[in-house]
Amino acid sequence: MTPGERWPGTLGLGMGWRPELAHFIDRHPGLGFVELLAEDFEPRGPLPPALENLRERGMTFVLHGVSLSLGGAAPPEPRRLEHLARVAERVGAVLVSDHVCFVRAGGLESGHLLPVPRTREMLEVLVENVRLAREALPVPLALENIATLVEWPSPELDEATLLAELVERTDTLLLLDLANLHANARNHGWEPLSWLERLPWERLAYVHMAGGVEQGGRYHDTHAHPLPREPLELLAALCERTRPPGVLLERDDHFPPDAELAAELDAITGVLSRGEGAHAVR
Amino acid sequence: MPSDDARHRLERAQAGFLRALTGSAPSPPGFERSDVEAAAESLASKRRRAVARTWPSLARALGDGFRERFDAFARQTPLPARGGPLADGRAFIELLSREGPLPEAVSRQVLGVDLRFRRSGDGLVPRRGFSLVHGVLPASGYRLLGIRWAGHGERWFRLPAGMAVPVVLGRRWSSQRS
Repeated sequence: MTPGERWPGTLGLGMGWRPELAHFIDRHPGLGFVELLAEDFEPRGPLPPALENLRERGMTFVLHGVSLSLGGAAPPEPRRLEHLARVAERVGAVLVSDHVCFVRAGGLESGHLLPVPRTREMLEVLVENVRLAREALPVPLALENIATLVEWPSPELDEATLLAELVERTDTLLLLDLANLHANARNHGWEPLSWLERLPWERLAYVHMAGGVEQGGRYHDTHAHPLPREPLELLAALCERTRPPGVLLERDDHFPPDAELAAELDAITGVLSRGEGAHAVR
Repeated sequence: MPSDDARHRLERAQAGFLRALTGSAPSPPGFERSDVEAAAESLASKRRRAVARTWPSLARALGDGFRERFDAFARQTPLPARGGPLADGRAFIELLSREGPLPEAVSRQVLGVDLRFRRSGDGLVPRRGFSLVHGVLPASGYRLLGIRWAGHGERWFRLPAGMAVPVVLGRRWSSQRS
């Protein structure tokens, strides 16, 4: 994508590829794309046969990273960018994504996606880090909002404003996680609909949906529980405003029977087709 | 462009926050303490679950004791920078192996991982080219020998426990002995 050009892709319905889901994904009709976890792949060597099969059938691949630490104090490490770029080429990914977060600091790894302080100063660091990443990658870069149980004190910006400014200034795309938005809205008292209003829709690459669980007075975004009602309601609200190029379901653990996953995908498709209907009427 | 000062300030603030989340420092000023504690608990449990999933032989072998022993290890040991839960679990097993012999299912999984990854100061690094590992499995009474050529597959051989693996092979190609 050159500056000024918009993401032209239509991805459709997607699923995060995990070895445990390979069989389900292989047989489920109607999947337009799958998302591969960048850290699980090497730039050389064979792909798992299940993925080779999907590729031969023309499945679209997108690549998803969790370790760039774009919201970290240091610029993204060249070796991590190199790995991401080569894996993207290796699997033929049409875009690459990572999160607006930091994952390491002071020589410590967190193993988790951690929130950034929402200050102007942080935004300047993010803009530079993201530009460096974007320049090193062979395909468009999309940035995702995270779920967090804890917030930094005294934010100068709300999250939607920070995301909007970041993607505009770096000419990148948005990977909108509606489960994460629900989690933060629930845990920190945000107003999710006005949050949605502040995003630049033309930069939306695709949407993440996932399950979670209410525990100890907080909502935990686990990717290991059923998809609850609220992210679907947010998807419906989103579809009233724009037509998302893709929507992807993530499941990372406690894999349910195929019928349950299929029902979750059907619920997503249902919301999307009602949205299509609404657009057609207008 | 952000100034170097901005990056330094951010580094200090993020490092303080992360230390609080890994339980090695109190909650930084201004943060909601109960939220920091909930996030710290969530991080610890995610780390433990990731290792249990990546090392099923280990979680099965330790059973109910896994949680307590892993958490004690995790409090003392930062997460490795490379190799994620595979490397984290490998470091935990290294500690356990100093306390006594490992259950055989764990030893087998360790050999499989060591054939594919080299241990480095900051975790695990994928091996390139040719590699070889071997280890005695006392309960089964044989020695297991694994040979791999990266990108071309691996082969495993069972040898009588008493049979020595040629020293030349051991020196040149084996970097792990279990």
